[in-house]
Formats: sequence, C-alpha cells, structure tokens
Amino acid sequence: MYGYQITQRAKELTQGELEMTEGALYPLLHKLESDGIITSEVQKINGRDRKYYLLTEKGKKQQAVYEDEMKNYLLNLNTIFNI
Amino acid sequence: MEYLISQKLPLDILLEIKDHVITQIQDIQLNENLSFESAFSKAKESWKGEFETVNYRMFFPVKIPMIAKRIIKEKYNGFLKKSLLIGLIFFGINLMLVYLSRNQEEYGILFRVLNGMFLLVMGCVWLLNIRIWKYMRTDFKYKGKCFYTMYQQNMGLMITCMIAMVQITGKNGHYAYQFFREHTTSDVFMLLITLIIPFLVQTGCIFALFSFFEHKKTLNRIKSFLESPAEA
Repeated sequence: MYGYQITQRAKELTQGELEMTEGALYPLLHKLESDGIITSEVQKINGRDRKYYLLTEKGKKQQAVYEDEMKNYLLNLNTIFNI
Repeated sequence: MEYLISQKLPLDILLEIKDHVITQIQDIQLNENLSFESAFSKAKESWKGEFETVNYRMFFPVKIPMIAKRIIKEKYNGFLKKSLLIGLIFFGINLMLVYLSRNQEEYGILFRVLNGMFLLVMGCVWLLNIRIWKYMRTDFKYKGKCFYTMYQQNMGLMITCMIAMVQITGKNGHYAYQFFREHTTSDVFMLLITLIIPFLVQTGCIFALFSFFEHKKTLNRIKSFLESPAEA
C-alpha cells in the first residue's frame, strides 16, 4: 500500500472514525521501515513515482503478536464490562 | 509541483509527498466534483501545518518543514541508536586491548590500528563511491536550495570525522594504559579525554557511514524521478 491509500483505507475501515493525518503517517512509516517492520519500493504508476510499503517477514510476525495481544485485551475488557 | 518545491523539502521526501498530494487532489475533484483549483486549495489546507518551518538545530542550521523534521528525526534516531551501540562495542574492544597488550608500546600500536581501521573503511567508501560525490552538494536544479535526500546533511560529518580520526590515530592512548594497567591516577581528566573522544568520533563515523549508505540507496531510488520531466 502507498501513503495516501493507507489513510483512505483506515478511514474506510473505521467508517471515518480514524482520520490519520499525513504528519503522523509518514514519520511512523519511516520509523517502521528503520525498525525493519516494513520495506518500501518505488514503482512508476501512470508516469508518476509511487512509494509502496510492504510488510517484511519480521513485520508479519509482529503483526500476529500484536493482533493476539489486542484480541486478548479486548476480550478482557469485554469480560470486565459484562460483570 | 512548484508549490511543493517551494516548501524546500529534500527530494526523497518531496517524491513521496508529491504522489500523495496529487492523488489527494484527484480524489477530492472526483468525490466532491470540484475544480482543480478548489481541490488544490483543500489539499493545501490539510497540509498547511506540516509545511510550517521549524528549527532542528541538532542537524540543520536553517529552519525545515515540520513534516521533514518528524521524518528525519525518526530516521536519525534509529541511526543514532545503532551507531551508539556499535560505538560501545568498539569502546569495549579498546578497553580489552589495554588488558591484552603486553606493554604500553604494543597498546599504542593496537590503539592506532583500531582507529586507523575507521579511517581505512571511510577512505575505501569514499574511493569506491567516487561517482556519487557530485550528489553530495546542494542541488540548485530547483529554485532555492534543495537536498537530494534527507541524509545528505550528514555528509559534512563524514569529512569532519575523518579529520578527527586522523588526529586520534596520531596519538597512542597511553593515559588509558597507564590508568588501567599501571594504576596511575594522576591525570583522570586526560584519561577521560582519551576514552571519550575516540568513542564519540567512532560513533560519529558509524553514523556518517549509515547516512552515506542510505543517501546512496535513496539516490538510486530517486534517479528516475530526477530524470522525469517536471509536472505542473
């Protein structure tokens, strides 16, 4: 995915609840790239250079860990509020 | 495009933001049925705060756009952490050499070899990449000063570190040897200088090398962008 696509996808998935600002997005993408979580490649799309970000193997593993953590967290919250 | 160039962003960041802004304008035009001018104003408004110039005195003598500062900070912080870690390893090696040396003369030689290694590596990097040195200076292709990449700012550091390393290689580090092996505690100040200065210069060299290789990698990525004709 490329930068603008990420902001739009986040907006779409959360029905407009999560509006990611450009100022927050790009520094975060560069940080994740430095940490080896994502990698980037420039492709020519309609004569324009576009930078795509892809999850690395390390990133995929991290994603699975964070997903599990978040699911457990939400499950615990749900249990607490349903007491 | 002219609007983005006027924000004085390094070209690598400009390349990324350019695509974002153009796609954003096209989306606004399509979804809200607006003219290019209105869509451009709307997109410009959403980026307004990001292009405000701010100080980043640690690395830049002039004000830079906020978004550039945030991105550069993230990148440089990563390099700094890695450089400090590798610098600490060499600091440890230096201390180990004190104990491994049979006498002060031998330590003096090893001290010079250790620091000379940095000079050798940097010299080799310089010579093997001589063709890209024309991309080390500020690019005046566009109006105003413009850097090719966000790492280019640190190329001056490479030369400074090499000069400092030449000075260090000329020393023999005998204060460290005398303190740790002969327990001479009379000149603690010079001992600290002998230990800290090489550590800082070595860290600086590693940081400059990281910046250099990222600069080279990014230059290759933006090569096609530099060659493509400018858009309106």
